[in-house]
Amino acid sequence: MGERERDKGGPRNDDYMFVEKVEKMIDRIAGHKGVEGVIVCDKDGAAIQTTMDNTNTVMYAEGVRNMANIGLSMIRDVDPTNDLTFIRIGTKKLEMMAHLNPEYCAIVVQSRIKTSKN
Amino acid sequence: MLQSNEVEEAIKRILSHKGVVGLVVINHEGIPIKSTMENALSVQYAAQVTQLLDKSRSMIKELDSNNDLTFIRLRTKKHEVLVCPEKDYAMIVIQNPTES
Repeated sequence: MGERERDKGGPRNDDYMFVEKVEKMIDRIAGHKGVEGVIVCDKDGAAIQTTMDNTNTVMYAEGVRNMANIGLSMIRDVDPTNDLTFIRIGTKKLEMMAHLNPEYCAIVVQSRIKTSKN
Repeated sequence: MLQSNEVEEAIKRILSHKGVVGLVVINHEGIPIKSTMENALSVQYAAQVTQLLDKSRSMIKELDSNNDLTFIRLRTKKHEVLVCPEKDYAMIVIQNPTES
């Protein structure tokens, strides 16, 4: 009975703490040198949290998720019991990293740091 | 142009890394020209990676026409697949990522 009364009170303190923890983590990653943006999206590709503007968020979320899906089907074709957990796509200008989860996808876009050639 | 023994040396060096399971070099048609794994598996990886590269490249060009793909790294539950595309070839390396 006591629990029901508590449930009616709206979001629990734990939920707020969790969201705060996630936001701190996102801010920490976004603060790294070279990081252009951090996007967290759900399994349908809708952005839940992002540090980029709307256009870029949609563009990168869709692009990375599409490539991740192709990568996943490649992995499953070779071994159906395997699963893709992380994908890293490097291009001349940028690097896109995504951690994949059945429910969420965390994407980080960073610029390539130039190192001096020997 | 690299001599064939230089290519062999490079492949040996990669294979000597801890955790490396196999290596496949494919040409622009997706046919394995060099492989350290059995034929059937090499051909399977070659075909899948060629498709992945084609689609990734076109997607990246869509995002920014001046940009181009330089590498792809796929981490799975069981191992890690590294793909390095060049103009006419691509190299695929399969490894078990070292546990930290």
